[in-house]
Amino acid sequence: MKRYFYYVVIMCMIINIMLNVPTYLIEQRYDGAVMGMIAAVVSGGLCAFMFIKSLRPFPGQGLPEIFRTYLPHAVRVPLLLYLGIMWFAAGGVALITFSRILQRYLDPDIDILVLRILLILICSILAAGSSRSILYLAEIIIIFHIPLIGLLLIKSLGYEYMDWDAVKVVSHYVKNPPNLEVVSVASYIFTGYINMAVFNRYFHKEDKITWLWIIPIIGIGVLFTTFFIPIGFHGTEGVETFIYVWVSTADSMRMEYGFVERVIYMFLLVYLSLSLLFITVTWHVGAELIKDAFSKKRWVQTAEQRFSWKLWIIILLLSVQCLLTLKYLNEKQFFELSRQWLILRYISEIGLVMIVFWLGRKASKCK
Amino acid sequence: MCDDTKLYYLIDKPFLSCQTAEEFTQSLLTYGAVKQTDALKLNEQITLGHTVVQHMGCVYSVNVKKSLNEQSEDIKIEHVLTGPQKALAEDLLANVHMIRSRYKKQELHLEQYILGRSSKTEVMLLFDVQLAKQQLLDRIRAKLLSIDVDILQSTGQLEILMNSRRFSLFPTMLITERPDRIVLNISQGKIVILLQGSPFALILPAVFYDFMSAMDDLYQAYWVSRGLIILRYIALVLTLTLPALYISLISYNPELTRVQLTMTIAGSRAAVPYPSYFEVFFMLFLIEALVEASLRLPKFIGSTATTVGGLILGQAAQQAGLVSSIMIILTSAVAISNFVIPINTMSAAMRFVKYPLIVLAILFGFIGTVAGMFFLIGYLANLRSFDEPYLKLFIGEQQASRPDKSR
Repeated sequence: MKRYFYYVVIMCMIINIMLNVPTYLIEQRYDGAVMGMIAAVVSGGLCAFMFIKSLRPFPGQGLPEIFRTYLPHAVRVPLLLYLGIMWFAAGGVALITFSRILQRYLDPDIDILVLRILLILICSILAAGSSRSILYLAEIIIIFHIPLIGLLLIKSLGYEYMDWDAVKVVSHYVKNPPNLEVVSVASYIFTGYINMAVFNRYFHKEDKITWLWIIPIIGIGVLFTTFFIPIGFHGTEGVETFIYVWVSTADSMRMEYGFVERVIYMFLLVYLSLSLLFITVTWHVGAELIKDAFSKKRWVQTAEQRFSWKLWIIILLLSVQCLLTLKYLNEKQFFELSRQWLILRYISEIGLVMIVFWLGRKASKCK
Repeated sequence: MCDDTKLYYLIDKPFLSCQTAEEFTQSLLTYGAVKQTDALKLNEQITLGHTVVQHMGCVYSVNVKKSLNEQSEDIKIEHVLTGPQKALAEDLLANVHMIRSRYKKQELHLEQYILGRSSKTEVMLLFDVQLAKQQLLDRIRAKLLSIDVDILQSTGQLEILMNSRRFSLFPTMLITERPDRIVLNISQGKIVILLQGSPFALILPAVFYDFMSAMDDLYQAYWVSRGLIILRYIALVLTLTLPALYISLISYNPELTRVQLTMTIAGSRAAVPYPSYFEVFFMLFLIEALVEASLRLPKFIGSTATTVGGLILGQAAQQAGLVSSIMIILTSAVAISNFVIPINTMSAAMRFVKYPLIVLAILFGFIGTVAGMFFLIGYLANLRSFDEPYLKLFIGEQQASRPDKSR
């Protein structure tokens, strides 16, 4: 069971492109982005370590069950609702950004609302399934797509137009101190562990998660490739002119001997599956948290819940909300909103880790 | 329904040779006669193939049923190159005998049920009592007892009755005619259901990999069988996605492939006057009709139908400018790949699944195809076969349910 933890973590690392992480980082490449990324590695690694360690006294329990035991009702319900909406927003941001990318680069004629409805339907039906099924799905999708992503990275690192001088120039700005925005944006890479809030229900005593130190190491690799490869391709100044900088980077490459010649198509289709997976996972976790805020009974592990209407309705209601708010925002405003959301997410993530850490201490003291 | 020789040996001969009436009673009882006290039950006994004897004021019933089709036939569906070549017979006891002689552990248990109000079909549950899960057994027993149907004649019908979902597409139980597969599955703790009068057995629970494995995988060298398994999965992906990818490529993103290939495809479509999806539906309808027709036709006409349909019609359709030649290649690739799936029920399900994918491709192009495949994987991962996860990677860690893990 414990290997499923890593799939969720890896998923969050790969998906950073769809949450505009590289764009925000590159905006600040001269003022502290490099230092901010190093700080994010430290903070993200620490958070992951603390969170997983603190969950250890609660085998087979998710956050809703832990909160039910230790927190008063008045604190528990708003907290769960807030967390659920934050989770939901993560999937929502990915959905909106990626549907825009698809419309712009793959099907310019498509009606974006219809496309979003299709993606919402697919993700919501799957997200309403059981947590176990979603982990199985995550495993299949990640295992089949990692080789393609690896190919993409290796291809781009050794590509003839990759300008290592630009990379060196930007890395000289390492001494500039970072601000909160850079750290919180960069730390998104490490946030996959937080999905254990619900998936911990299926992790029992014997599924002790080891090898946690590997998260910061892979994270450094992912962060630096996601930041430096576009800079190498487009130059220190030119990189700023792109909105979806990674799509343009993928479009700068071609595979001479591949069946699909232009890398952008492979990139978009690979990221389509990964984004769908990300949306499914985040919406499932969010809906489970919200469902538990309203339910009177404590969650118990039954044989297998297959498809839960309650989850589906919660997800549909929230995604309609998501489409409605979008109507009043243009692309630029949405960009600002998702930036603010990333900062808010970082603060609340640290808060959540602190709460769980405190509860974990409390639980192990009681024993 | 009675067997004359049995009648002669069990009743006539003792009757003539016995000296006293008591001796005849004794001989009847030795041959398994049962004393019947309820006159209403006699009708039922006669319809089951028993002979009713009234003797000395008592009524006895003796089983003299003539059993038909005891001979096992050659394998018709799940061919293997090397390996057992005989399938199950249509007689229940002959089948039990066949399985018993292949599986000699004393833990093999049998349980008998009678299902069907009019057909009164005998159903046999076989399992290894040491390996089968008790929870699963209880569920299956309860399920069998709850079945209420008038006529039960085939294993496929039983599968649908056992399946509690109203709209099911993917098989969650395996239907097989191979005794070696049955024995292998019993040794893996699965439960087998045999039916009187059906040369097929039902194995449950069955997960996705079971449907993609042929018994050949066990009988061949490691790399050969691995290669064949990989080939099967590639064929599965092809048969599912090729038509959808063709539509997406022609109608949405012709720039996806390199220029030369795109030009070739466009050139071969030059004579075709309508959009790509029409072409796809036209050819796929023909090939599905052809498959269905060759299944129903007698064996000798079947080959004629395939020749006429496949060769002549395909060639003519392309020359008439109704479909492109690329589409002909694609259609045959889809049909051939579909037959690579070893278990028939799964290949039928996959035949169906490609149509929703085509519809998604018509509406959304590549996005629809990829999203549809994603949904298919998610749907399969969400399915359960008697609480066993249906689609899951690295299944070996829990229980060796693939035949290539013989223990």
